[in-house]
Amino acid sequence: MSPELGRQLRAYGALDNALRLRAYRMIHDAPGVSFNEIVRKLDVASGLAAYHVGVLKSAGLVNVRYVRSGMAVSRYELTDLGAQIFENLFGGRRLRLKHLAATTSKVLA
Amino acid sequence: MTNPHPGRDIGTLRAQAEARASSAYVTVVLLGKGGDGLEERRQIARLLERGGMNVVIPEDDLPREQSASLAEEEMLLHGDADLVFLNVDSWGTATEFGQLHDREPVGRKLRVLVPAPYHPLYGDKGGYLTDLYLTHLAVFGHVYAVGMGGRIAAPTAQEAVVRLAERFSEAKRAQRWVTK
Repeated sequence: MSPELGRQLRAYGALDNALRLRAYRMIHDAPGVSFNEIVRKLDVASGLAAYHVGVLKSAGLVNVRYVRSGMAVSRYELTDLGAQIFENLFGGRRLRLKHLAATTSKVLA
Repeated sequence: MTNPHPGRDIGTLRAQAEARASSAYVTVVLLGKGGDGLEERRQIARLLERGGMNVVIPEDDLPREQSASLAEEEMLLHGDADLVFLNVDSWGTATEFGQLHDREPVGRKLRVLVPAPYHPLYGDKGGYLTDLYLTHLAVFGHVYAVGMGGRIAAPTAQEAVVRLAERFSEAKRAQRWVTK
């Protein structure tokens, strides 16, 4: 298996899960989001959330960095690969929403 | 590239990648002792990742503020991992096996790697867990002898994990198994 195909299989396999996809979008929308915030927004047990962000990390889609403020806080952001795949998956939708917003503004004006 | 329905299309993209790879996407969890055991698991992970699998090693991939034992229990009971390899090579992992072996959702995914001398069928020493290994083997199967000793030439933990995970991936694709 070529390295590129292996990366694709791991990335799409990881994202083909509703909870992981939500966590991935959350991390994209708020780079540096803490693990506790992800748990709160996903509304699942912290152990399960830890597993899902662990799979995203294993797939090379997100990075984690630790900030120590009293106790360790894990903060997540997309890797270059994660950002590139996000753009491929959702970029078109964002452009369409921008277009829609522009069109709406014109109509309202 | 536009994609108005990413949730649906991610499944399609995954299926296309699986077709090109002739194997199914698999998530593997590797549990075992720390120190040199952790380094061995990292080496195994690198091999499996080349085959398109995602490998979760709790010490490396789970957030540090999360209690490891709670996280492991949650991810094994409710996560979508396909295979969970537990190398019983320390007191800590022996305890883990004791906690996990009779949890039905975990039992089906669990692949237990036992030092060859202590395997209930192929070993020649026996130990306090040997009887529990035999029960697990009888109920769920998947108790493998690894390493030196015993009455057989057993593979190393790395050889066993890589062979089993690769074949699982191929078989899952061929048979469309749903293991969750």
